[in-house]
Amino acid sequence: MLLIKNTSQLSLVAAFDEACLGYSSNVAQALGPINVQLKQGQRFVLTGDNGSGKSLLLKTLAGVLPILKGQLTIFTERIAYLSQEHSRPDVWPLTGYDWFEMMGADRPLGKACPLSSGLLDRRLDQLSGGQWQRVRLSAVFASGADLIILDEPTNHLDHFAKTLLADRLHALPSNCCLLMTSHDSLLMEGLDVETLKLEKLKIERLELETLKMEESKAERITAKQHSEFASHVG
Amino acid sequence: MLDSFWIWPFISGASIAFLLGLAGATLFLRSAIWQGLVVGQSAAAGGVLASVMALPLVPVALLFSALVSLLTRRKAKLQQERLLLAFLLCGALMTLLIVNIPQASVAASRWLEGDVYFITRQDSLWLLIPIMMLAVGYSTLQRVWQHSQIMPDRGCAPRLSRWRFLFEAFWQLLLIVLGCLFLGLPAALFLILLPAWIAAFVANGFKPFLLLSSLISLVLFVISWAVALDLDQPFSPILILLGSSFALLIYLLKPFFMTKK
Repeated sequence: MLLIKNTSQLSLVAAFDEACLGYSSNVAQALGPINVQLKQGQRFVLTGDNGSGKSLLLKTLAGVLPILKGQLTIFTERIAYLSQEHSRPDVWPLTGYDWFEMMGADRPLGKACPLSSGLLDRRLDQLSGGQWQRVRLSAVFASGADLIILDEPTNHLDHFAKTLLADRLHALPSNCCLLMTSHDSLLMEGLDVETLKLEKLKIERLELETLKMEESKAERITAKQHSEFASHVG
Repeated sequence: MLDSFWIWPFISGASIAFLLGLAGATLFLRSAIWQGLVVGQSAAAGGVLASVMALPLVPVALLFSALVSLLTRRKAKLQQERLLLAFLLCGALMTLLIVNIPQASVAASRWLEGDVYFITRQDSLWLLIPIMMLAVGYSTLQRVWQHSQIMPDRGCAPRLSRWRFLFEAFWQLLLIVLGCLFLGLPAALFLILLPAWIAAFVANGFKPFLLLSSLISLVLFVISWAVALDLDQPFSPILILLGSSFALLIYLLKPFFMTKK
C-alpha cells in the first residue's frame, strides 16, 4: 500500500513499514520486509552488491514501481528522482530549458548552477553523456524537492563535474532529504552522510569508515580482479 | 480556388493538416510513430467495416482504432511485434471486405485515396472536437507530452491523473481517424510522419518543434492542394512527392543546421 500525505509540518519524508519491494513478475526475488524512515535533512548513501536491490528501492520510493506488500508512506509530493540512465533519442529537439520546465524546476538565472552553466540553450541530443548528466542533475537540484533520490549520480561525470556535484550536495537545503546510490568514494568524502547497506534482503546501517575499508580492500587485489570486484563494492 | 465550393474542403483540410503535424510531433517525441501508423490503418479498416454495416463512420472507426491502440499500447510486451501484427490484420480485413462486399470497395477508396476536395460542411463539424480539446485542454496535453519525456526520471511537477492520459489519447485517436477520413490513409500518415521528422532536425526547443512541425504540415497541404488541383492529379501522391522532395532538401542542408556532439 502506498500512502501519500500532504503534511508538510512533519519531519518525516517517507517511511517503509514492513515493505516488500520487487517486480510483480518476479515475486520470488522480492526485497524486504524493510523498515526505514527518511526524515528531513537526512543524507543517505545506499550501498550493496550488484543486484542487491538498490535501484529497486530507489524506484519504489520515487513511485516508479509499486510495493508488493506492507506500506510505504510518502509525506511529500515534492520528490525528484534521477534514474541510473536516461537514454536519449538520436534526434531530440528539446533544450536544457525544456528539461528544467518538464522537471518542474525553476529556470536558473545567470551562473546560478555551475553544473549546467552554458548547456541549457543547447539541444539535448547534442550534449555529450557527461553534459547530459549535468543538466539532469542540475534540474533535480533546482526542482526544490523535499526528497532527492539519485541513482549513481556520478555516471559519465569527469573529475571536475564530480567536484561541482559534491559542492551542490553540500549546499542542499537543510530540510531536504537525500538518498542516493554511489560507488564513488570521492563523492562521499566530506559529505555528512549515513550509509545504508543492502545485504541479503535487509538493510544494515554502516559508518562511512566501514565503506572506506571495503574500498581499500578492493585496491589491494590484483589488477585482473579489480574490475570485477569494483563492480561489487560500493 | 476558394469560392464557396472549395471553402469547406480547404478549411477542413488545412485544419486537419495543422493538427496532424502537431500530433505527429508528439508521437515523434515518444518514438511512437509506428503506433500512429497502425492507428491510421485500423481507423481505415474500421471505417470500411462501418460502411459495410451501414453504421456511423467516425464513431466506429474511432472505436476500432481505440481497441487496436489498447492492444498495442507502449507498455505492452513485444510491442513492435504487436504493431506489425495489427497492421497486417487490419490490411487483411480491408482486403477481404473489398473483395467480398461490393460497397466496401467504394468506402475503401475514400479511406485509402482521400476525399479532400469533397469534404462536406457536415464532415467538418467533427473537427470542432479536437480543436476545442486543444484550445481548452492545451495545458493538459502539454503536460502529458512533457511527462513522456522525463521518464524514467521524475521531477517535482504534480503527478498526472489517469483521465489526463485518456484525454490526450482520445485527442490523438480522433485526429488520426479524421485525418484518414479527410485526406486518405497515405496522406494522413505522411503528415504524421514527415513534418515532425523534418522539424526535429531544425527546431531548437519543445514548443518551436511542435509549432514548426504543424506549420510544415500546413504549408505542405496548401502547396499540394494547389498543385494537385492545377495538374488535375490526386491529392495524396502529390503531397507525398512534394513532401519527400522537401525532406530531401532539408536532409542535404542538415549539416548547416546541426552541429556534432
